[in-house]
Amino acid sequence: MSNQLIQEAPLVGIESKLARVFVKAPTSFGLVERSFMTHVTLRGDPRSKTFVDVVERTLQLTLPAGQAMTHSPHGCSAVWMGPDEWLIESTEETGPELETALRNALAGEHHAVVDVSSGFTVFELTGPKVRDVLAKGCPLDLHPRVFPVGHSVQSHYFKAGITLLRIDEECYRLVVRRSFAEYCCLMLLDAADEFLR
Amino acid sequence: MLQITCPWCGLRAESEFSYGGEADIARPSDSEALSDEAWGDYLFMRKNTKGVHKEQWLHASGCRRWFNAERDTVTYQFIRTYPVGASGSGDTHGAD
Repeated sequence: MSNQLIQEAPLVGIESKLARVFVKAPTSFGLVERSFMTHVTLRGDPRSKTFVDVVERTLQLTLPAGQAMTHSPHGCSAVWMGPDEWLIESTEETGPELETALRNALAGEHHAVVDVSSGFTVFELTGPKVRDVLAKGCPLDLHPRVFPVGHSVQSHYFKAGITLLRIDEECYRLVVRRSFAEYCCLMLLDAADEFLR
Repeated sequence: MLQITCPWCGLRAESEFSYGGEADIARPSDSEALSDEAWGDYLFMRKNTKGVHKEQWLHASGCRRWFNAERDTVTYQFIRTYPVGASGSGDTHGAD
């Protein structure tokens, strides 16, 4: 019996369907899964100066106060999820590392830090038709005037709850629950179908 | 589709929200001493207002926070939305 556990990317079952959108420089719409990114949920009172100071010093970023995301120089970002909740994303540190670092730094302060990396996956959506594809299942106003680069919101794409981050002019990142990943991806592919012909 | 203003996220589509029934219903502190009728009142009896109604909403697909709203049940117009506890209405009973 093997004791080795192999982590499987959420979209492994529909890889063949992804081939059409899995491109580096899409002419209309591209989708790449960024699986195994680190996600840590952080909760605490933003009115506590100690809490904010400690978090900002540990992560080397400014905690966003509204619907936005901020970045550290070391591949770590903080996404606003609610008035007392943030999602910390990282490509450098593992979940347990980040969780321990924050928990030690915040000892004595009222807070909650939970590593939720295995619960989520990330899609990177690119190309000139991204907004059209998203608009088919998401009720948000995606116009650049109200949804600028760096903006982050939570909404739904058809029936799947999503966190939508605007990374660049034509690049959005979509954080979705692992259990909804396949559904959400198939809906995206269906919505993008007319642009891929 | 209705547009509802979440106190934290701003104007969003109705499909992101879920309804949570009448607002400002306080759980009786001395439930042991309560009569069956009074307990039933607290649990089940609601106003069913025609006109301006105070109710609870959850921004389920958004920031996942509960908030209160004043809504006209005739016109469906949202008069205002505010964080729970911010109103100080003094109205603490579910049933009239």
